[in-house]
Amino acid sequence: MSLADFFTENPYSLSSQEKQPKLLAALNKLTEYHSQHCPEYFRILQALEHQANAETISHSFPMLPVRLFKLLNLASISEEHIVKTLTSSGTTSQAVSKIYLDSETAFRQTQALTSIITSFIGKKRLPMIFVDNQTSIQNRKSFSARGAGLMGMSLFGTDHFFLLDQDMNVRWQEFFSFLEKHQRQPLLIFGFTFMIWKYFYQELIQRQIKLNLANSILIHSGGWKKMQELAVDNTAFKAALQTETSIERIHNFYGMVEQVGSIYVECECGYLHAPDFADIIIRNFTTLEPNPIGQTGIVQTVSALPISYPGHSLLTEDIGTVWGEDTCQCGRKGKFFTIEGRLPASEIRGCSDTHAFDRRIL
Amino acid sequence: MEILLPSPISCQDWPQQVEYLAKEAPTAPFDPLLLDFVHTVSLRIMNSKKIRKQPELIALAYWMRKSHVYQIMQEYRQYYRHSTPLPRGVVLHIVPTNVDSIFMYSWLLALLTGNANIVRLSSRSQVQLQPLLELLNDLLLDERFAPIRNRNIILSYGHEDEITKILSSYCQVRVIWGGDQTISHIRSIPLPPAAVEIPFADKFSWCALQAEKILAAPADEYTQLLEQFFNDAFWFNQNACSSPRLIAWVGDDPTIYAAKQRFWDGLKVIIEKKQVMQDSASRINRMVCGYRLAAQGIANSISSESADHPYRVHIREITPELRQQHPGNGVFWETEVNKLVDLLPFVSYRDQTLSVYGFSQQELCNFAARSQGRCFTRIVPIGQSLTFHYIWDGINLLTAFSRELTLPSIS
Repeated sequence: MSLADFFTENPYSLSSQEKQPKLLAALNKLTEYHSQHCPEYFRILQALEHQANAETISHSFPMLPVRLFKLLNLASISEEHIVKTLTSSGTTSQAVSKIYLDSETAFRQTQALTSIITSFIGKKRLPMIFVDNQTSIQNRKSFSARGAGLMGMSLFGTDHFFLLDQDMNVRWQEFFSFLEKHQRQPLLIFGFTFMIWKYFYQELIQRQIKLNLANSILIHSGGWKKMQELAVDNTAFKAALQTETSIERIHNFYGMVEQVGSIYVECECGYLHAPDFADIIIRNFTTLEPNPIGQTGIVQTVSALPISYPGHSLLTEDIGTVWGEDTCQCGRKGKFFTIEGRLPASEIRGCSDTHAFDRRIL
Repeated sequence: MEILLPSPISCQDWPQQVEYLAKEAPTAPFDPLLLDFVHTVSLRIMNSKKIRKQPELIALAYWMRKSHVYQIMQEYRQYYRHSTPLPRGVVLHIVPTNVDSIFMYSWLLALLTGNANIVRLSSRSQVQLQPLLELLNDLLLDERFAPIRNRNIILSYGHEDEITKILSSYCQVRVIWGGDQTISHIRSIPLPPAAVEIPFADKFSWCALQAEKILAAPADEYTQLLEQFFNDAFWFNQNACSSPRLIAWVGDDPTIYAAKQRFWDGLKVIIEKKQVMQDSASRINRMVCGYRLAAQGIANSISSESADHPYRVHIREITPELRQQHPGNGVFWETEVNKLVDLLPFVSYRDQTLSVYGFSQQELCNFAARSQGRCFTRIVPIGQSLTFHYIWDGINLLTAFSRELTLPSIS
């Protein structure tokens, strides 16, 4: 299964007419492949009486609720071919997703990530700062979502510097010498949104430090739940950081451990973009049917990358809106969208132990 | 800690009130005063515009009506025809949030059998119960009900074990309306040596349908059946322990096939008519349940890719652990057997209610007889899954709240 077609200089080059048939073919192949290699996936299709390799439109692929990866071990490879296992950070629930990668899938993820990131920052590797500490990447065989994100992004920088120590304090002295060393050079800064906000931005405010990193690029992701609690939205986050650091190029991205590689990066106009080898489908809250453009709903993500696990079509529990396809002011092709948050949990009335003490009925 | 009833309290604070309650002279079981009180509450609920809106409280008021309480009294007297029943003393009821009525059934049965009562409500249930509590407090201001006011207290507090410990030290019976984890937790709080505990653990319920009878049901009876099944399943979003979750079809294959068609098509119409809430999270929960069981090889057929109502998951084998995977909110597991008794090997102690349609009394008796004890504790017609009875979950609450005095026969 070659993806050569998809990985071009510009991962946002295909118009809808060019992209949809290609993606459709790739997804059909993947459905067939996984139904042959992942017994659990095969049994799901069988129970749904779903014919693999028969779809003519990309929103009719069976989609796995993303939570299934927390409840089951889903892999299309035998154990000896697993080179890496990714796990979700799982801060809010005990169960974590387990994603098994073989070398091929890992390679494709890297390729995908490279084509996306370099299209934003250029091919030159920049001195890089992680707004994080080193502990989350110490085990090379098994990664949390956080570790996987850091490892993935490390490819695009040189002279990596971890801004935080184990107790999440800024290593000020080392930080300033790093800045001095790379004076006048653009830097690549990467971190998780909430960590940047709490451990970096708020420290800058408290210490009344203003930085001049005008040419640098900040890429951040995740942790929006906590940001929502703080009532800081993406626009406010960007404006606040720009004021304190002068960084103009700040890009959020949307992605998940269940589909590493196909990430959705925010463009200059503030929209997240689907790359050529992945797509976003917004589904109606009530019926799960595909929504028209501009109508908010539940996010489904499809990706041509996953071979080692059946994760090419996932129903997330995130809420988003597609605003258009191929027509973003930034010039990139493909769908552009925003993420609005997460579905509220269903209200459980009943005898469930998860609400012990207070919730039980006859 | 908040005292919800009586209001105002007769003592300074709750510990004093509880101590006072335990010392007060008891009322005789089914004393006319108690009957009068229950009857008056029933009438007031029926006449309250605010409360009438809650169907479960209307069901409660109906259950409390004069003739029904009289019938309960007759059955109680019949049971104790050779001995003299006594109250146990103080009953501590630990009750859940979401069925506002359950605390009333538990409390009233203990009250009628002559006990003093401490009822613990969770802090979350207050808002919904406010009108009912107001009504009760108002009634208790009447001087003739003073003996009831003095011997009953309804409290609300958080997960404070210290309070539960103090309350437990006064009681002769502790009733815990589950779930399993709550029961395990409360069990670690000691009871006086002579006290007993009545736990209502997490339970699972089935529905058995006789395929031939489903096909043969006359149109009006059939529509009524569907309505009743709908109530059983959707009144508490299928999350009550007695809501039907597993549907067992009884008959031969072609008949079952046709009966399924008729039944589920009919139910779909009812569901649409009743406009069942379709929140996304429960829909995704249904998908997760179906897909997971399919992946595990337990389910071999799912009715819909995106969990449309009615969401049916065909189960290949019924294992004990399976029961914990049911998410409620409109998931119907299905299985088929030739005869009703063929279900028996799959029944576990976790199973509570079997609601039925199309079986003769004899078939049901035969089913129970052949169960060798591993049986449901309630077999009811469809439509009565959620109907409360003083024998609940296999426990007769009238006798559980009583002691029995044997007298010598001196000639």
